[in-house]
Amino acid sequence: MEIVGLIILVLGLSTYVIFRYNSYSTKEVSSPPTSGVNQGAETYNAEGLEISITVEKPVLMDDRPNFLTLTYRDQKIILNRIASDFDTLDEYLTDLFTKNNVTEHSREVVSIDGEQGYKIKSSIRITEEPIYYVEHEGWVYSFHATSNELSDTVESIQKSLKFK
Amino acid sequence: MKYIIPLLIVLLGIFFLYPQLIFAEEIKPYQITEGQKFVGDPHLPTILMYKTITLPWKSGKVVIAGNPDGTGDLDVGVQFEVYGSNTANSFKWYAGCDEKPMQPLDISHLMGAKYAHLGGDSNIMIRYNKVFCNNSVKIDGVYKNYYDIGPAYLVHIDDASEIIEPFLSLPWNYTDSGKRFENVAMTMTSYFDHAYPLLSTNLIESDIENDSIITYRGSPESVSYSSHDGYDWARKSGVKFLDPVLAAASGTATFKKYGACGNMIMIDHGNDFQTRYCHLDSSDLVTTDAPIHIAQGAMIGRVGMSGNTTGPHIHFMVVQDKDRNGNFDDNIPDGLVDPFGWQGSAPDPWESYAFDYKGESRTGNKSEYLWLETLPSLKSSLNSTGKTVTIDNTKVTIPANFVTQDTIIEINSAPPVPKPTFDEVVDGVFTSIGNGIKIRINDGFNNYLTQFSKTFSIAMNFAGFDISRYDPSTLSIFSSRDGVSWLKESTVLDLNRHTASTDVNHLTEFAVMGKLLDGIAPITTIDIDGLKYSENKYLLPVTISFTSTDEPQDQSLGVENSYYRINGDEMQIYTDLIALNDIGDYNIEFYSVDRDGNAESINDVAFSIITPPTPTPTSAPTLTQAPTATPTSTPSPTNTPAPTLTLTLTQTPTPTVTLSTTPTTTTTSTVTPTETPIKTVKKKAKNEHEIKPKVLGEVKSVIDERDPLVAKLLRLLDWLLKFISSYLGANI
Repeated sequence: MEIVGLIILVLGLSTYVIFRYNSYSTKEVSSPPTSGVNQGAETYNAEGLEISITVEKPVLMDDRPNFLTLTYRDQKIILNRIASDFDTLDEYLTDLFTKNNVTEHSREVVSIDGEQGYKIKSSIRITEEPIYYVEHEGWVYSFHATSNELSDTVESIQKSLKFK
Repeated sequence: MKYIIPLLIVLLGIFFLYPQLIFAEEIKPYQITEGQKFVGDPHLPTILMYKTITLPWKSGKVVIAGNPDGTGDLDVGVQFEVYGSNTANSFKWYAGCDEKPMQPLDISHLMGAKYAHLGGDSNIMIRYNKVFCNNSVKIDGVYKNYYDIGPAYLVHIDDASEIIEPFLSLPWNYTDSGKRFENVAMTMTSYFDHAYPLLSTNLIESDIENDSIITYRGSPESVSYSSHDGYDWARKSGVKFLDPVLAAASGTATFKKYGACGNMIMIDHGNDFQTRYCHLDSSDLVTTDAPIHIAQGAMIGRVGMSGNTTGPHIHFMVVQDKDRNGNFDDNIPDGLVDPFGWQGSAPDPWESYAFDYKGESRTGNKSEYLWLETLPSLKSSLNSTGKTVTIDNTKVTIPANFVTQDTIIEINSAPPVPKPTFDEVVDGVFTSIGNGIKIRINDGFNNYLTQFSKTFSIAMNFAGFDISRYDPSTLSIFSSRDGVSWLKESTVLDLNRHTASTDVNHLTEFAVMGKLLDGIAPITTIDIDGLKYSENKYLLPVTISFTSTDEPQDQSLGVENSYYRINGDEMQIYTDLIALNDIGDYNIEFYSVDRDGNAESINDVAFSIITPPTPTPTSAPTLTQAPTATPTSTPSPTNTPAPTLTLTLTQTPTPTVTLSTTPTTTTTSTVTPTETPIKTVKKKAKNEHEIKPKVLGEVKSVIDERDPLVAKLLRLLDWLLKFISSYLGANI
């Protein structure tokens, strides 16, 4: 019987130690984001947007001031930017969505080159895909795909985008 | 005669209802040749044939193709050459002795707009050259060269029946701050919505158009206000409250004040166009009553916030007097145009938008690019004779035989590179001096060439830039193939002439860079003076101060300013101690900027100022159960007031006391002193990267101790140990 008691004791202490270890490690350690960039991707310098992105090679790339279109087969990814007179991205989005009568369906916080941005699904009819928004040095950048076939590519843009 | 008037009415109706039928893109083919076969002496290099075509080109794309619609490949023999009289530029294509077909060739860059507005025609000369090839045929016993040339057309895709000469300048002074048109024009905070600019009316767009915009680029976007009928420029453009607003072109200015637009100046430019400037401040308006003639660039008022606006900005709009009756108001909104024109591949939706307004059927308007300034860009032919091109501060010299067949060279100004990354490790912080340059060469069919067997030279002049804060020994031309990673080029530096030059055999981007004597941002620390109750908790009174240092000490000009803000308020310049007199949570953000302009990342420290908790009788019994905690919790008399000591001990959590009988008590009891008031004089935060994990980590560990789930598990474990102890009859 003493052996049974010792087994219970060991199990109890093990549970305690494991719980303690897990409770600290999950709260104090944040893992670095894993890269979602494909191995065959290439890095492009988008002069008109002053950014670089690493993506699968598009069929066509249209790089213009404040604007970049990546064409893949019959679908596109559109990136653009506009100067913002608001102090925060939240203020800008609140104003924009109010004036354009946009209803938000979901909002997810994302990190884009160290800046806090949002991945927003909304009532905007130009795409059924989520639109990413991020603010950097007075510019609000946004990008989205025209089809969910390109959602992985859009995600790789989110993870690889670097402001110049 | 009786049919003429109805016929005219019908034609006018078609004109107003379907103007796109009249103004739509028109394909105008000019035949070069039907196709011919040539036989000649193979040893006499000469011209097989040539033809000059004169066309009234004003705008639009021009291609040479094998069919009249401009899409087919063509057989050009061995060598084909085209020359444009307006640009004195030519392009030659070598098909080779196998006479491979040529894709449709875009020769728009040979047309040139230089004389187009004067109504002059363009002359294009097309020439088929004979080149020796060993593909002779025997005719009448003599070997002669044989060439086969297919049908060829010069095709003008005419996109405009009427050219409007650019005449506008941006309506504020951006040059005094050293900026150029291309730096500021695209910093708008709102675009002209090509679907549809109905803001000034009571017309409402359909649901499908009212949540997004179509910019002049032609694609639907979700970054700007729907229905906007002009452009807004604000802070990012350097437009500040009460800055002068300038006339975009000369004309007659009048004043009007109404609703959303606030104080508005309207300028009739005498060319059927009027510009309007909204939200002006009421001070220094150029006129508020009688019309007044003003020159381009003259001040017409000041940036304000009158009318509907969330902040000071210039709302700028352009209206065309479409019916040419001298009244612009009756062409709102159908006369509105986008001064950036229309660059979409599909037709402009605004141009053909038909709607009813104020009892009239109306149609939108065609937009042309109306700015006098353009983005610096150069596109011209590059052939084997070489070329020297100067743009901005850079001279590019391409020697003879750099390319073996004609190509098209594009040279553009590139933005400065503030934080370059390098292919190899470099010591120190580098930055570019002024703008860079981007050079691209394509074969005429949009295939870009990047590597060449010969070198060409680039000389970049940095006169006018202050280089005193750069290490002169590090100044060099750097190159980048992808615009991301940079490589130092072997550079000849002439500090007297302020030039850097290099010879390279590759493209694409080049910039002069140097190592900053001080490229390091200052480091700011925060001192929090106050009675520390626990981690991140203080008792009143509390003051904070900041200390900043700048490296490298031997090169630094010192810190210019430190900035801070409390709980998200406006950033302020730090001058003296700051007293925090209120109980509550505080989030302090702070950073410094040195005299070289190096700005530190914003640091962030959070803490609370609390009131001392009062003793509670119900918690007193727990004191008697925690004898082991007493010695470690006893503060030194010099630091802690006696009443606070008693208070803290009564606050000791029950689970902690219970566990004092187990081996884990030691771990837990070390947390207890953090609950004890300690007279903390200073708490230093080094920078964002150092302080955040430390502060948050410590706070979280305290939270973990108080987690109800943890407490339950600890109780369960305690019960289990007691049970085992009693069962085994032994102490553990």
